[in-house]
Amino acid sequence: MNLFLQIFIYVDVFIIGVVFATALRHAYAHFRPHPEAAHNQAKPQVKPSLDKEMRTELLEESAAKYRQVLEKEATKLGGELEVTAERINTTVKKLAADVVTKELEGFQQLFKDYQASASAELEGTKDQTEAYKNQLKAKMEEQVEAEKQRLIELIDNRLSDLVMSFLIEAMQHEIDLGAQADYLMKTLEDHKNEFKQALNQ
Amino acid sequence: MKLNLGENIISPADLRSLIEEVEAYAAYSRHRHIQARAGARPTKNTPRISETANEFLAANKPKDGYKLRDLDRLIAELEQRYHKSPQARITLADIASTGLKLSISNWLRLNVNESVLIDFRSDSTILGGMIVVVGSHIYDWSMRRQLLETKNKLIDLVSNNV
Repeated sequence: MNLFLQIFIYVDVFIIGVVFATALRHAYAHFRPHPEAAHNQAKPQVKPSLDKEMRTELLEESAAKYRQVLEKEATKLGGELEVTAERINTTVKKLAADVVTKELEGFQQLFKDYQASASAELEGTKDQTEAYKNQLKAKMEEQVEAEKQRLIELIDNRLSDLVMSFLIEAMQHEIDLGAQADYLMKTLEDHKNEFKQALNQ
Repeated sequence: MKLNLGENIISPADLRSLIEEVEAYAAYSRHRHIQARAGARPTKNTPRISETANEFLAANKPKDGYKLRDLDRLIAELEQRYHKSPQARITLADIASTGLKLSISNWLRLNVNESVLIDFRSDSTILGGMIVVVGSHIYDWSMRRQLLETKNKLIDLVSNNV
């Protein structure tokens, strides 16, 4: 059999099946309708019984009442808001005052502590400074005294050198060995043994 | 025979001078002796020697006069004395007079050592007294030294009188 023909037959059979099923469904719906659909079809449509003037009056009246209620509630809410705001304000002020007072007390205590600590440290520093000052003073006095002694010794030495230079300069032009002869012989006599020892070594 | 230097030979320089004069005299004597033996006329004049050398030669002259070997022996003894004698250097404040030199020299030869030779020097800065150097020993008996030793006393004295 031709393949095309076979396909054509299968499609026809399918279409015939679909048409039959649709017809069957419509027939069932016609003879046995759905309860809800039957109720909807049975309910009569309500039409407004009020006329236009009446509805306008009612609407205006409702709007006036609604406005009145709104104004009343708004006034009440405003008063309550004022009271609440005042209370909040008072509470905030009190809280702020408490916080500030507490913080101030804390700061005051902290400041006192710092002041006491600084005072103690300052006192210690003052004592140390005083001790160092005394030590420095003693050391300086010692150094000044040493320098003074050194200068005195220096002056003494220089003075003695000066005197010696003066004497040597003055006396070396007035030397008379003739006058010293007896002294020289006496010196030799005094050191006779030293001479002997040195010369006879 | 013991060598008699004489009191005028005080220093090593005096002794060296004496040795040179005696050597000159010995050379002259040798020359004369050779000329005499050869019968030649003397061509060399008698050397001029100092009074000190004359005194020395006279003091040490053998009884039968000088022979050449006597002079050689004398020179050898003088050289030995020059090198062996103890020496001292005495520094005085001024140039010592001959009298002072003799006094010191005689005293030393009499009391310390008879053959000592003394070299006198002068240094005015010592002011007085003497500085004696014997070998490695230095004896400072000068006035300058005494002044320096009493320097502090001097300063006190000056300070108290100012």
